[in-house]
Amino acid sequence: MKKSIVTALFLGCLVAHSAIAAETFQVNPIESFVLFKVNRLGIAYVYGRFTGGLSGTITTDPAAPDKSKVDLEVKTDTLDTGYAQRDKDIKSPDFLNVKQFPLITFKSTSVQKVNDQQYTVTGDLTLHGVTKPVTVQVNIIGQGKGPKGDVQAGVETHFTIKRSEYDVKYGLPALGDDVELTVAVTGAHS
Amino acid sequence: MDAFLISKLAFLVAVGVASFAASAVLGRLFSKQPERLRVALWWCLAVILALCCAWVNGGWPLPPRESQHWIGYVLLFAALLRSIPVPTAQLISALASATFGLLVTLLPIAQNGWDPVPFGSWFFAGLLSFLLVRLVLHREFETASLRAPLLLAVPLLVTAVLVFFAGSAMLAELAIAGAVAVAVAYFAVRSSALGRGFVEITLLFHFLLLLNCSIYADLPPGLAWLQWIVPALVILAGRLLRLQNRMTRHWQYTVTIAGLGVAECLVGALFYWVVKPTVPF
Repeated sequence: MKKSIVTALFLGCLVAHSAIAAETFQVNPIESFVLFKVNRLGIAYVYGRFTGGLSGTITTDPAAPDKSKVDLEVKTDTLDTGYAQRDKDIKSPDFLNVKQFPLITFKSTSVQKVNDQQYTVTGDLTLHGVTKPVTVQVNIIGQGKGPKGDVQAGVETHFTIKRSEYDVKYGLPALGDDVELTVAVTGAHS
Repeated sequence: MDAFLISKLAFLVAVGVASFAASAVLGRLFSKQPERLRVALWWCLAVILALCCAWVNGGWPLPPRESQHWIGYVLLFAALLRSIPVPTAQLISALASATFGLLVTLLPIAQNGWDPVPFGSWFFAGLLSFLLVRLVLHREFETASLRAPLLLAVPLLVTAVLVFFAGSAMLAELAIAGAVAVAVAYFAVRSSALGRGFVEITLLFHFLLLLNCSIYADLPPGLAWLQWIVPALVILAGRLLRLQNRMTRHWQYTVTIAGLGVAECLVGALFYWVVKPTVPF
């Protein structure tokens, strides 16, 4: 019951609390994660993450969820698959070309509330210099006060993109076209 | 995996066949016009290498978005400039095409936060390096000697290995394709000198591969530079030995080829010692 009173939108997905006006949550890079997996040779998946590379802001408006905004960016140089040589390959011009494209960005264009626990967020994903619209379902994990007294909220989404659509074509089809992503965001505001 | 490897091998075979067929046809067409043959050969090489770039990059992006997308355009630009029938075309072509290549390679990283000092240092050091190596190698290509294509193709093959282990299989694939195209073109028209335009296109291609890999992948710039100047150093050492020992032309030829092999092995060993690469699979 208490939850229903204080629940607000976050990340088109994140939840704020009891706020009447719009609030801006800062993404906590340490508590946020971008994980990915790509099929390798049709045999198995390679897993990786962008360690501490996610940052941005999420502006929520409980009174009008459709006015909420999500603005995220990932530093591509923070990619980590647990094997330095493979990281070097993925960061090279063959794939992400991180020195030419140091950021992956997402800017929302619409946020729609599905229910108290789920939002549909549509936005422009820019990866490897190519911008494409994506729509994702965002689940609210929880919200509450953090150790420093700030309000924290966490959300998570899973979605799949085709890397070829972002002009990352090298190694196809031996290295899969589908990139499955999990984005888990923790945001806070004082 | 098999399909992937087969597609890569098929690509290299296609490059070899195209280079051989086109060079042989041009050799016949212009058998009595050596000057025209040389122009046709550098255009042929530029077009084949530009098509290789398009194939490996997965298309012909217009406008190019990444520095390696520009390589094909730079080669065609160089071929075009070199074709202008004015006495200073050679120098203008070399200067303009190297400047163009350097700018399109360096600008993307400069836009992401490079200060003017590193940009200027890379630009001027790169331009000077290119022009000096070009100056030394130019003279080698006025004869139909096997030494000339070896001085271009062998370093390209070694570069392919360095670039592969420095993290870019794409640029390595391009380097191998370049080596195949150069070697096969020589065998198709081996009775004729390939000409200076041919060497300029090949050098520009090699230069841009090394530049891209040292900036955007993990090839140490010092090693890239060493690999770049190896053919020029070998030629200069050969000339020095000939002057000092009154070495015969035949011996100088042999010493240059052997020196090239030894120098490339040393660069490979130095690369292994510095980078300590592991197999990326």
